[in-house]
Amino acid sequence: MNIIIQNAPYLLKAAGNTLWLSAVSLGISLIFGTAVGVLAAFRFWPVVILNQIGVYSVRGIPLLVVLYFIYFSLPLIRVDIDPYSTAVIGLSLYFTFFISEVVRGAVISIPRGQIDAGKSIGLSFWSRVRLVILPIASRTAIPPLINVAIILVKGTSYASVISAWELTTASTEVAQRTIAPFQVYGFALFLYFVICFALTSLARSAERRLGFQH
Amino acid sequence: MPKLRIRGLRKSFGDLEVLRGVDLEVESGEVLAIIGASGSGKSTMLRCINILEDYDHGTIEVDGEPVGYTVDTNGNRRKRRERENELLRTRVGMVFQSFNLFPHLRAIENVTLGPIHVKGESRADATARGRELLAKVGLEKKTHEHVANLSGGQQQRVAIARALAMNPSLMLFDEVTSALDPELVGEVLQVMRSLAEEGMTMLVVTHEMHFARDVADRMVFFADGTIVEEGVPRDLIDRPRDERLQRFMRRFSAIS
Amino acid sequence: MNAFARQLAYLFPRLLPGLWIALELAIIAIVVAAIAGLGLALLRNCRWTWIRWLVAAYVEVLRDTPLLVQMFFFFFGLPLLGLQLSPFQAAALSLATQHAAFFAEVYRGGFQSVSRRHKEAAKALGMGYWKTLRLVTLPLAVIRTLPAISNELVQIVKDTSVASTIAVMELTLQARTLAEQTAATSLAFVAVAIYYLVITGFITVGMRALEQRLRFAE
Repeated sequence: MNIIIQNAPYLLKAAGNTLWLSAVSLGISLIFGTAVGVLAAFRFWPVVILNQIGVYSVRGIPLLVVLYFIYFSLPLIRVDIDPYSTAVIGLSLYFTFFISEVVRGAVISIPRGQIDAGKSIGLSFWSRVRLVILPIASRTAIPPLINVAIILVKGTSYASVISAWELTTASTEVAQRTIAPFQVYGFALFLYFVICFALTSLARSAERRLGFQH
Repeated sequence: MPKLRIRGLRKSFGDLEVLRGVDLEVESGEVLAIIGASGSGKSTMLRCINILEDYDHGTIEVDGEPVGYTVDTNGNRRKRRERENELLRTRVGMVFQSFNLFPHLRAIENVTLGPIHVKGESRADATARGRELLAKVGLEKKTHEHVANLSGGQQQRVAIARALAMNPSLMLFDEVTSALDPELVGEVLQVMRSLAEEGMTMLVVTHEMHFARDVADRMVFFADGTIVEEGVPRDLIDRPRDERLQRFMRRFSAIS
Repeated sequence: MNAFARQLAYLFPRLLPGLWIALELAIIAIVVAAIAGLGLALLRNCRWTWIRWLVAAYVEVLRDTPLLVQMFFFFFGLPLLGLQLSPFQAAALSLATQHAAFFAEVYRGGFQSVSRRHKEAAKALGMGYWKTLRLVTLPLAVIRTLPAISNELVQIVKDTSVASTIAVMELTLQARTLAEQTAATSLAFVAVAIYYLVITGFITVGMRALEQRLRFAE
């Protein structure tokens, strides 16, 4: 127990890094994912193809492999960045296509009547997107998106493999130093749990309040 | 001994008292039609007879055997074990309004499931009998169809065959034609009619007055959780005495 | 282009040993998780509240923590309790425990989707709890959750890559070794990605065919 207490500050700091890493990657994925999702929903064919390829790849290739690939590839094109940013790139790329599918599904599920109503009151395409489609699609999309966020937070643990400094890396350091893997990894699991459980609860209350529609 | 005897049956769902003291006797081979407005308790009573629902008060006996609960001479009520209930259910067949066929099985498999797995019959015996029963309900050509490919009337006839396959001594029909398109109702009623002619004891909750008048030996009218009037179907239909029954019948003469 | 093709041709057979290990790992995990998950899902209907709560807690904890840390926990932590597992065993155990939780959730959804009516029809025929479960509820639940089960199978295969972090020589570690030791570097990961895509492709296509054949039980 003492070991946990002694190292808690260090691990909590690392957890902070994990949160930061998650937030940044999530933010980037959200921006690109939404764009791809919306455009794919509107059948804009270059994006449809891109989305298909991306989703297929992401569904079939482990995140770890993608991270390794980027980590090993960047030096080849003379890009020299820190592991942390590499992780951000890898995570963002991967999760963009998770998000694009959620968004695409949400946009498609909007009843045609709503869009027709928007047209009939004279809204332009982008106004319709902004005032009709995104608000309605958000309601459907938010619970699944929170679930993607949870997967993403868990995914940040792989950043340790490419030497980025976050909770898993820190736990490994401490565990090796104190030879108390049980307590240290146990504590790390606890911290991850706290974060992800908070998100799960958020998703559940969002589902309830947004009126889960089929 | 009457096939079915019900005394003082009471049941509540929470605060709502659905059955307020039902007394009923049905003789072997009798066909009893049960009519009444929705919510009057008729389906609930049926479901108590094969213990799909518990009941709060009263006794039910099938072939002299107590159903669901035993009451000793001191009036103490004891719940029967579920295994005993399961055995009872093999002797009482039920056909539901929404058929409730097993969608992952073909017609013949729906019919033979009970005999094989509950009664322990051999697959060969059960299948042979199953084919007979399906032929009896007019579906000898559809034995190997998946039930989703059958029409509503066909599905309900499979459901009847399924119930018959268990060799019940009493059959319960819970508004079995209410969910069918009008043109499919006739084929099901035809099967029920021939079943009655063969001497099966049947309790039929129904809205089909013509069927009740032609086939049933006796009819009871349910209102507010109890039987309010009973007698020969003809009498209840043409000369209803209770005021609620009169109102009920007026709705039907308007249609027919 | 030719250089790429030649390198890939060099890489593919060298990744093959990793493939067998990965498949072995996946199959063990799938079998154990599918069965254990079923047990957990059934325990959810147990009479005792504390068992139900325990199962719910187990599922929640395993869903809200990363597989990688769980694997470290098992591999590095268990020896301190006297349980010395090989990397392969620790990986298999970790995969199985995590995915048992996911399977439990899939089954739970499946059970809930089986209409009361079907269970009632079985009850009316005199079937007891276990018979109804075996002959009606379980078949229908599995058929209805085939897409979710398909996702789970794919996810397990992908998760075998995590075993690379505890020195199990499966596909990903094999690829990383090749990347570090040969001139192929990141191309090794392209090759291994293709391997993964092929396996998961097979699973997806196979499951979809199964779904089609079982369409009648909707």
